[in-house]
Amino acid sequence: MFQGMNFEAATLPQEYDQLRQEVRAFLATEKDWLPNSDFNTGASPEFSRRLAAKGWIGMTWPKAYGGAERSFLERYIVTEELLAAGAPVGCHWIADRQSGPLLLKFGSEEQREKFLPAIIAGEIFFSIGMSEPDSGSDLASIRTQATRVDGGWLLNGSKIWTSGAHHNHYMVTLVRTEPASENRHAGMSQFIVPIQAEGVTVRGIENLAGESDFNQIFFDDVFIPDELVVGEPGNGWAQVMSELAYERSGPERFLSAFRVLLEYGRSIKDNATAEQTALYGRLIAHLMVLRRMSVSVANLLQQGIMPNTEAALIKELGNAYERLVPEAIRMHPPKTPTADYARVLNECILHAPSFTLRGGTREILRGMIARGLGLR
Amino acid sequence: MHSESQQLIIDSVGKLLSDHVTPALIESVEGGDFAADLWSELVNQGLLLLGLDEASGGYGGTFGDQLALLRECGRHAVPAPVSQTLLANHLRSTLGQQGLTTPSAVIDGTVLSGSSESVSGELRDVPWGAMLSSVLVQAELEGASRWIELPVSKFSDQGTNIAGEPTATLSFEDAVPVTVLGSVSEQHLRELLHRGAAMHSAMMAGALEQALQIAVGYVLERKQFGQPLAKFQAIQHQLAVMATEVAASTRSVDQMQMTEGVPSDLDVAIAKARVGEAVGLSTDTAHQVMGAMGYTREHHLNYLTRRLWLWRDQFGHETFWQSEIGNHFLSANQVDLWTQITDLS
Repeated sequence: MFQGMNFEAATLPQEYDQLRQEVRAFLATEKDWLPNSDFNTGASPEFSRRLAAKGWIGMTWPKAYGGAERSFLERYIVTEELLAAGAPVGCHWIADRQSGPLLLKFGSEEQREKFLPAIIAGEIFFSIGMSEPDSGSDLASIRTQATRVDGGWLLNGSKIWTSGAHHNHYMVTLVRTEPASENRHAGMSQFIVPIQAEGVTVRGIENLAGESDFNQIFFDDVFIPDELVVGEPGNGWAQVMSELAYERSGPERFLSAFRVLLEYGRSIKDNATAEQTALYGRLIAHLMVLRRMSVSVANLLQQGIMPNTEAALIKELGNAYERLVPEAIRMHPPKTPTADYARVLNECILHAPSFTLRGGTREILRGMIARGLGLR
Repeated sequence: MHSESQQLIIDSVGKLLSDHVTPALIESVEGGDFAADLWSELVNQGLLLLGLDEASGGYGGTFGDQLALLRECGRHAVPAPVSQTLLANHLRSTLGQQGLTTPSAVIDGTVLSGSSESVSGELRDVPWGAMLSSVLVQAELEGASRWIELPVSKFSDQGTNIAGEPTATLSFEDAVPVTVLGSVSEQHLRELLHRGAAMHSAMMAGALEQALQIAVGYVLERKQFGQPLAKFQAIQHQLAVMATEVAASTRSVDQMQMTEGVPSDLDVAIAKARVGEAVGLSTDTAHQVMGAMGYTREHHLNYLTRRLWLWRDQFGHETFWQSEIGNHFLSANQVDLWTQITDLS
């Protein structure tokens, strides 16, 4: 029987306030980008390198690889400050959130030594290669496959919706290394594919908003040496599943509309109607609760617990909130909008369809929550 | 998850309430009886004096302990004025009086008038009205605003609210106050409002958690089209969304329960606004997946949902608290929203 979710109340320790102030001071000196609310919008290798110089990429990782062994809660503070400021985090985001922790858990010593210090230095950036033209939510149906050759594998197939592949260096790619069998989750492996390798083609796909962020990638007899296989061949599915709590519980799952709320508050400050005040309060109440839930999960991650159901729940609730913010605000428009109000509102509405697709669709997440409830 | 003292309360109260609060008891209270045996048990365990220090006749305990108790009361749809009596005892203690274990309530919104020997007036549609031994109410006594405690003797217009809990209009004609408790201050009213809202948020969180349990249990058992309802994606997804609302409610109330002392006004506002907002979708979903069965009187889901529909309106509905929150954040001088949020933890 379902026993409830684990959102054990946790708070960010006050001793981390200094770190928050340091991040703010750094961001105050950063001027060469336009604040965007969506973490997926802005990408700047220069910004990522300046951030790395502060020690804020891979900051929880072992000192042996150049990390600072700081806690998940400290990392939480850095990431939420970056998102709230609308910083262009797109280049290092995946490497910091997912690829590095994956290598720490499953990678070889050689891989860790090669990649982790370079990620921490802001020199190399990663993408994720999961979806394919014929495989979206049904990830186990992927057909990109690798065949065994001397010293490695020969990779053929295609990945799609790969964010940032046009500016990143590597992509951790899920591929079939054995033909599909009755156990749909068997026979998959994770490869680190160098995007510049021979036989890899990147083709940009313009999104609804007219921006070029995601791509289709083609693999044509790409040679992947054994040293670039992550973990055990055949263990790919379990490894992918282990990344999910990192991917789904963070502040990027409910802060995508934050700049809209911020500009709204600035706009109505001096002449808010009763309806506007209540709406503003309602949206802040939701945000405060989501943030506390997300901090609770960060605290569980710090204890080595992988709360996949809770992470799915935060993403589902957070995405619904990100949708609500622009939809509710547009019907109570400010009398005196700030210069940025219309821009961020429109940007948010144009990006909103992607909120409930990326990182696991709404339907997949609801399925995971239902499993947590004992219904499946 | 909860403090040790709160866990002790949850365990012991959970047992007591499971044993005593049956559908038959709830029905009899909704029919006009007082749950005397249940009340004696609550008195015997000292629960109505929980949170009062020894000077006020209590045994200690925190406001968080009270919230833990009330969350269990919400989970079991307890048919008795527990939160009302706890709130009355808080006011008594604030005014230097001893706590009482008889059912009582603070009635806000109406001001009676008279002298310290004789008070007259009427309090309309008081929740639990005829079942209260006394009420704490404001009165203008010889030009001064005072809290007084009046014995309940004359009542009329007995009815029920949306939860089926009894209400009555209480009349006082040259009544002699049991006690003149002290002067009324803005601070008292503000505290009572916030404590009441926190208590009702905790009760709602308990009821929502229980409603989810009941709905989940039901769809695992009930078969249609040859399989349990739980196997249908349409059912799974509805309950998944309900679970997100319930989890947000749980976290909002945990925040108050983990606070040492009394939670901040803002945390109370967030809890009452957020949990209240969760009620609509959650009760809709629980009833939908249980079909007509859950709409019958005899199914115990209705004891929870009818109370949720009452509690979300008591001590301020969602818009009231959302406005409080909005005003709080809009009134900050030159401090940006993000700084305000992170300063709060």
